[in-house]
Amino acid sequence: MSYRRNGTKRFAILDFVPYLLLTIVIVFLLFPVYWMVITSFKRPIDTTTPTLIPFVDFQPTLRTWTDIVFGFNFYQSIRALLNSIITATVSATLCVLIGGAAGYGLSRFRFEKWKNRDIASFILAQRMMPPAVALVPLFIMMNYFRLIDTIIAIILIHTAFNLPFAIWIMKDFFDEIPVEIEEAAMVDGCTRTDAFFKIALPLAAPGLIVSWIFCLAFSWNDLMVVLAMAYNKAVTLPWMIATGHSMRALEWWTISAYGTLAIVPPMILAALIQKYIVRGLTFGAVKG
Amino acid sequence: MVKIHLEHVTKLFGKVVAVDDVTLTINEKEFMVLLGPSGCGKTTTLRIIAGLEEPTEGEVYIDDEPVTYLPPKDRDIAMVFQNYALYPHMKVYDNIAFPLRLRKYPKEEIDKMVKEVAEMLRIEELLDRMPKQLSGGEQQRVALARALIRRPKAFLLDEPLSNLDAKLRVMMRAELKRLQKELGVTTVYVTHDQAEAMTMADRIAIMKDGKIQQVGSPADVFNKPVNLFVAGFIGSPPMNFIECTATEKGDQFLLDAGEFQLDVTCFKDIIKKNATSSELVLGIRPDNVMVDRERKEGLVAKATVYVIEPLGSETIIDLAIGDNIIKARTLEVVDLKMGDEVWVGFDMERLHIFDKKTEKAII
Repeated sequence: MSYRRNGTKRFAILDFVPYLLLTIVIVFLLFPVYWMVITSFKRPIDTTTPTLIPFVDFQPTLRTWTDIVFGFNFYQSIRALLNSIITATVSATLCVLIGGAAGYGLSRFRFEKWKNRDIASFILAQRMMPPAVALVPLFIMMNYFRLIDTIIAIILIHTAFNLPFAIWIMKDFFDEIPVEIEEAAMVDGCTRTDAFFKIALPLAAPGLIVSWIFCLAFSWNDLMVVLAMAYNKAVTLPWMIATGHSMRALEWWTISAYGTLAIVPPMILAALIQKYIVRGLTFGAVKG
Repeated sequence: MVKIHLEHVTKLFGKVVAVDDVTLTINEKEFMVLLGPSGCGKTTTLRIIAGLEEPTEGEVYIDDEPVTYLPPKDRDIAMVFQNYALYPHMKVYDNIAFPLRLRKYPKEEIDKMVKEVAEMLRIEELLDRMPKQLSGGEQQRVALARALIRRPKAFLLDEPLSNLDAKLRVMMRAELKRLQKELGVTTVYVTHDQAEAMTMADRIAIMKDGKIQQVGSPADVFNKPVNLFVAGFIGSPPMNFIECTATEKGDQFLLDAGEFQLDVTCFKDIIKKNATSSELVLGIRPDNVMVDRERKEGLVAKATVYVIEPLGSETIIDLAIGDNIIKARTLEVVDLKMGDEVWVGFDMERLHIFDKKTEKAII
């Protein structure tokens, strides 16, 4: 909306251009999700036709959900959902705990033999390698420890893959906190550990949450590791989606239902901690 | 109260010597200022006293107890940092109460003490705010309050005024001095500002390259600097230095600066005894330079007025004697202008003579 010189409002076509563009972008982004969600409510026969609007174009049905996802696949679906939740939260929490401690160490202590920068670069270098390269060795290791098809294996591998990222974020966050604040706490009567828990950690809380979310997202979305390490007991939702769970043909309706199931928990989480996600997205660009 | 003593303290960072064999005693209730240019080791010395840094060699004593390897929390000292280091996630009240809470004081007592110290520093109305919402001066008061509240054995202040604007700085330095005298707490204060040191200190320790150059009262270091560095660092505008050669002419003992000769026969014996060569440096404070249009008794050198700097209550006259530019300060009204020829003399009572090689003071 723009204003005339005398202050009255004037509606101009140009004012709507940004909204129009935004609408196009949003439709472009959300259409696949919409398509997936409605497909999960279609009868198999309708899934091959380009029908868009429920009750108008096609008759929605809960059959996929009641018969397959929560029907004869009930046990497997719930297990996959729980596995997804457990692996993602546990590995993200482990990452934050270890990454927080390592990041603090790298930020606050001077290492003499290997310089801090070398250690930090070495840690980040773990991410240079395509994860697929490590799959076979990891499979052999996990097999040796009898961990194939356990969520422990998946948690361990996800943690290992995400840890460099968590360490770097946390190191940066701790770097931003002036060391004098902790020193002041130590002079005021804290031990170094007190100063960490009472001062540094609360101040780095946004960082902890940001790295937790990023690690969670990676773990939640991972298919490759799960595909390699799990086949039955330890499968997660992405595995359920990818395998389509069919003997006959591609069951788009089942795939869509699992896809929908897989995006619900992250959406709830995102709604709850939205402001930290924004902080995470601008991380590095706008510090402080 | 408390005495702090450093015994041959040395601190190395890798191969860099930050503090070099410092021995220093800070007496009870004394306001000691560590003064020096940046990188001279004064802050490191303070951090060693606080326990935030372990000395490579030497011992630290507080009240004759060796505390060299004691963590900061067990030394019962309070420190104010240059950037104040307030806890950004706590309100002002909680910032001030933090040291007491760590010591498990009862709640009512904490409340009473916080209010008391807040009143003393006039920050009562800020207690509910977050540190981010405060101005620099207010943050500084809060940092002081946090240090004051638990009545520590000693205060350590690390350039606490350097982040304030000039006007506030002058005001705060008077207040700090009064506060220190009222509370009678042994205080170590680090600054690079010689004016702060001169105005606040009971004694000043001047440091350079990790070494203590001179320890003494403000008057001592001003009037009897032990070397060229101290002489040049203390006082504003700084002392004038003129390189010269000692020569004997009959009975007279002269300092030959090329453009003029100064008769220093009265110091002949001291100079002869202490100088390592005939190369000397003449030092004279701007206040002790006399300027006149006419040649009068005691005026020895011909000079040209280079520039006049009026400061209201006083005037600084820059004079060119050959290639040397020296400054003179006078409280009188100056009717000189640039390019005027004048005669310059030195107050022989206030003359300083340094050895050029060793840079040590002879007179």
